[in-house]
Amino acid sequence: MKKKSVALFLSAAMIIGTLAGCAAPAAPAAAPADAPAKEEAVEEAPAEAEAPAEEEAAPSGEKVTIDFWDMVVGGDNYPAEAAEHAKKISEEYPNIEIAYESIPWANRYETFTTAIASGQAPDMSTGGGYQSFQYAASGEILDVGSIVEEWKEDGTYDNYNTAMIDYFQYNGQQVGIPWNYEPRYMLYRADWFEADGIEPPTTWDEIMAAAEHFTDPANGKYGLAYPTSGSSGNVLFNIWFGMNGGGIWTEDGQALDWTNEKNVEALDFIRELNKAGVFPEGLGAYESNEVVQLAVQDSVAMVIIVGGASGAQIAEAGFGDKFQYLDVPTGPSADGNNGYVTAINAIMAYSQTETPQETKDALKWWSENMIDLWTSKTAQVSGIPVRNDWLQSETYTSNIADPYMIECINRTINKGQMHTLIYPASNIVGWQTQNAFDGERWWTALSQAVLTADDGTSSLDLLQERQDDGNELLKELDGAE
Amino acid sequence: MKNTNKSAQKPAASHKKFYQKDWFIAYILLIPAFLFLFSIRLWPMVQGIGMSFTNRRLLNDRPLKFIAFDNYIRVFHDKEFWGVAGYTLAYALGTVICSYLLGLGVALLMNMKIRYRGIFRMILMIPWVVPGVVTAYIWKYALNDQIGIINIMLQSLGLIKKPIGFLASPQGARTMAIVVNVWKNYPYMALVMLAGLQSVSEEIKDAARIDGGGALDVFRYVVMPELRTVSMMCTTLVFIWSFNSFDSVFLLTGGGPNKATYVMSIEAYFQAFQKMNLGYATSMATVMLIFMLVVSLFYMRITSAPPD
Repeated sequence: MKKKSVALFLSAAMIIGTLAGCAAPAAPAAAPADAPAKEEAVEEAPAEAEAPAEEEAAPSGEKVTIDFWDMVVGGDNYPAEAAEHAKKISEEYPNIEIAYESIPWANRYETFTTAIASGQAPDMSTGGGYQSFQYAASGEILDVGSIVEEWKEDGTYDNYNTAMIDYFQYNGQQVGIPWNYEPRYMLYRADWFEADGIEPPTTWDEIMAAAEHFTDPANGKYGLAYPTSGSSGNVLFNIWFGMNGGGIWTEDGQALDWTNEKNVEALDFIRELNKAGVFPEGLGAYESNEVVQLAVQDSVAMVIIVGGASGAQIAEAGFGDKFQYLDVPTGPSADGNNGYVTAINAIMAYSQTETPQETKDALKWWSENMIDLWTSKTAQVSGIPVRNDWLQSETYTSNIADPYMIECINRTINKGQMHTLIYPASNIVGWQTQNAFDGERWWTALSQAVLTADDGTSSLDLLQERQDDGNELLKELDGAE
Repeated sequence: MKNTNKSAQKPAASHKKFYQKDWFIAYILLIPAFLFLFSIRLWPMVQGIGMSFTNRRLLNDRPLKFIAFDNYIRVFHDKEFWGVAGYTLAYALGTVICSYLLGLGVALLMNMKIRYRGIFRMILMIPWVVPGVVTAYIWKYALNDQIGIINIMLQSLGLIKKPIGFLASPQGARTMAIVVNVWKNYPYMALVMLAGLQSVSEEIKDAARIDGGGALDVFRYVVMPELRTVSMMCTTLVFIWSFNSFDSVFLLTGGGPNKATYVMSIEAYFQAFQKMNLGYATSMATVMLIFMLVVSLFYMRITSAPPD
């Protein structure tokens, strides 16, 4: 009997193992880049075009392969074009080749963390905006300060928005080299507004009025749509706080401040819009492609998107003239400090690399030569380049895939209305916490909670929950008191 | 006579050395398979259980400590865990009940002598053979409020005036996750039940009819008892698959909206790979393991029971 029980137990354990394996998943989906930064980092910074300095060829000898994990930071063609571009490194560094691997935003947080934890980190990568800070805190990031020093000597440094380079200083180390920033912004159907004699909205009240005006579900027309799911949905939501001058950190960056009045008003406003029925019914599950789809089938009057691929897709579908860039609408408590938001993304190197010098060479080369990708209409690189000389070059401006970017630069960034995600702080005590908000998809959860919360749950309740959980995280990850 | 026979046979068997005996050879032959299974199944499982008694994080950014049952105590006091466990159970049971009823109905139809039966059976199998990723994306688009075929059909038929955001509300998403899993699993149920139906003797059914039984009586008193074992087996298996399911829910809803469709495997995944709490995540997985072990023992009993 005993033997039988043991046999039964073992068989059951094996069956479980096998069945669990059968049901075990394919990797799932979704978390994108976010980046923070000092407010001044996003200010206009002019510069003259200057050719990248010539590098000495790396010492000859055995060829070194650099594992480069690059996020999908563009349209569908980006990975193939970037992989092809990576091959060109041998023209300048004959001893280096790049093993290029494209990493989707979905699960990037898990992908990198697992790789690092198992000692399989790449040599260098792009990634989420807070990623380099988080891994630097656990000693996994290679200091690339020597690249900045070289650039200072040869003048390349002056071509950069230097505040953004400084932004990636952490505990005396340069934990990443910025390469782009991704603004989130609003577009509106200029032809509809004009036909109905409505001025583009400048305040939230006007957004509400316009959204209600254009909403006609029976004919498939809606006032406003934005992604609430997937990677874009996660990184985009805090634009609502930005438009009202809000944020989730105190001004000195020493504490979390989810529950401030400006944020409460932002959630209240979304709930009002929802009650007014101006959102499409499925908004709570929309990813960015569904919002673009809605836009290009004449179904929505206003959209909020992450600049780059979505803007390019709208333009490509022939809606580039119909949708126009909307200047930052003002929330009720904006006090003149409202803005859209952006994330700054960096290229970083990992301390697990066995070839630190070659990794830095490769990182430097990639940073200096990305212009080929930026000026490819088909690669549709996301966001705006950190290098001012590229930004101002005719080659870039005449080839930009997202036509709204130039408007964004001229009408928002140059007016100081583009905030980073840690606004109103310029530095914060909890970089790991901030990265966790992004990686753990707190924004997605909040975005969906606002749309699905019952009347008994106030906006303050929703934010208080984040405040409490955030404080726990701050203690756990960043050791805050 | 009996005693003589026994004593005549016994020495012949015991003359073999132990390494010549069948049981020894059998164990030797099993060793490679056991080592393989041990290394890829049992050892990770043992390691995982061991980890559940520690504060292990994915990034080794703090000292590793043995914390006994702290993770388990936390699991059982975690309201979110119980909410997730409740939905996981509802998801698995909902799938089993609906796919069983649907599968049985389809099997009864497929068991009838109709033309092109082979083609219908082939079509029936499609949801079962389609990969989970494809299933999730097909449904995701079919359920879309603006371009999804389901909303378009419902509106065309005049059944709804405005589209339904099936995946945008917690209740809708929870229900749809079950519906999609039923769609995926009912062909398996139907196939197994069809095999069961075909094994029911026509003579017994005829006898029941001669005794005055109507179609319903024949089904209830003859067919269903014959299907008991096969029903128990396939419902248990589908329950286990659904309880452990990850990909179909994750790809369909991402666990949303607002965590409404978190099942236990998704929760454990997030705890391990997003929140990096490996110790806590493995304690959740161990709780799942114990529960599934009980279900599997039940399954073993069914399958090892003698036929009725």
